[in-house]
Amino acid sequence: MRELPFLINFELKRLIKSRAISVFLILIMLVLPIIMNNLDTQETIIEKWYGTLQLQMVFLLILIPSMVSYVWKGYLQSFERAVILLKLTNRAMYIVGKIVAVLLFVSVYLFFFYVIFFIFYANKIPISILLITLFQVFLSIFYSITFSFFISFYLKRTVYLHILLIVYLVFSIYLNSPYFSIWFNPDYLQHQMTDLLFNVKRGIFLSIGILFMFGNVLLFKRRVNDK
Amino acid sequence: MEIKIKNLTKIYKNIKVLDNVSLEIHNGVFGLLGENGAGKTTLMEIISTLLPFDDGEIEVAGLNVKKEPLKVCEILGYLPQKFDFFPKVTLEESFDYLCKLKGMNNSESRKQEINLRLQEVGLLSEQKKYIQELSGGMKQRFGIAQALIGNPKIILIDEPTVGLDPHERISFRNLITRISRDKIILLSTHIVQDIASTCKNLMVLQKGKVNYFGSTIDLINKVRGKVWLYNILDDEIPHVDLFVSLQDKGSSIEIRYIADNPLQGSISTEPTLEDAYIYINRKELTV
Repeated sequence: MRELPFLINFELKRLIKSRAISVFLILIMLVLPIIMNNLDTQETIIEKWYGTLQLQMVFLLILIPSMVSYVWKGYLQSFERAVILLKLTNRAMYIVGKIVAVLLFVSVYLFFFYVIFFIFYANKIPISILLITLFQVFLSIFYSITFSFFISFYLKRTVYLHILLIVYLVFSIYLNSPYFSIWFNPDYLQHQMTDLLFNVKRGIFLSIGILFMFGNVLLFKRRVNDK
Repeated sequence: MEIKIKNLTKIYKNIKVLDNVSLEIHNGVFGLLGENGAGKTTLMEIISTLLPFDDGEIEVAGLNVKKEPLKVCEILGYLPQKFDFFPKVTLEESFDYLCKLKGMNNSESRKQEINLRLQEVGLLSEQKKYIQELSGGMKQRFGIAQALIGNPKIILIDEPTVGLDPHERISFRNLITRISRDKIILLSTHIVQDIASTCKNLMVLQKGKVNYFGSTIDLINKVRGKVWLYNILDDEIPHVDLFVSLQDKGSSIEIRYIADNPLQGSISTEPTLEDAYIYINRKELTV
């Protein structure tokens, strides 16, 4: 476990250095909300926010496979195996570090966006709504990352990951199932998010994400022992 | 200090990749010679604890590889074949990362280690360069420098000179010889010249089996008096026991071959490790 912070730190550095990913994230987190906010509509602040959030999440979830592929090719390169893994006391931490790094990287962008958002709209949006929505956002991101890592063990090319995630996302929004959907129709989310049963179902969804995380560790261990 | 391997067997997809391999390696550069697919990398990965094995025993500096893998890793450095690293990080960042993973938590000692290792391989002035900006030879030197982090007692080097130009190849061999004092260096290659110029002892692997284990000189002596040169004037190449090479001499063609009974008119010549390797592997070369 002692090496986990170093592994995360290094992968974060690599992600920060990827200009394309950073540009897309800035577009999604900053430019898109500014454009949406300046559209002349009759909507309330919350409605505007949900509209923006919907677009943000769709683009963000589509971007996640690119981030996953950037840090993890789906297989172990010879230097990863013989140089990095050889120096680790727990080799599974290598994949855990990558998953956590992608999660942290997206979360930092989200955090800054919502700090600014909260400063501007603190008295216009109830804090409880904001926090519950944010929980759903993080849940979706966590699930998409662990799911993308899991699939990357089988599908080597990033484009296949993208296609799969887009199909999954379309089905998610169409079905609006709390057990299955990575993201929802904003109206559905707005009405359901305070419902206890909905949140219990999302808890089950979270458990599936955690299972994917364990699955990633198991698949990784198998890859390490395979030649 | 030594590496002891007893009756090692590794089966992969119902094929014996390593078949009952036994050997002992002491300080110095030890050569592991064999053609592609002979099982060299598998053996290296098993010694380094990266691959499990099916049967046998391995002891590295008195440590059992199966029972104490973490302790074995602590005293090991590994340079894999076709060494590369993440392209968009600098040499310094990569080194700092690898030093941290090796357990060097103090930033001052890490800095000292980075400077020492990069100086050792002549890359100190390149430390701000991105990995993608390094030449093949520089990457190999970075590879050996990273294997030296923490001053390990045992260094495994897999096919280090593949893809290097002649100048880089010679300087890399010199580097290996220079760092080999008080260490075991296990050098795996299919390039006979690399072994000839660096190793006193070697093992020849063929299809997972030990074909020869002993000193380089003894191996060469096996073909002493059996290597011949024969000049032909026309294009018709005579049948020889074990053909080694063919060289155009202008007016004639010189054949180098191995045989107990030479062709009439052949001249005996000094054997090389390459001759001995071909002899031991009994591999008939096509003209």
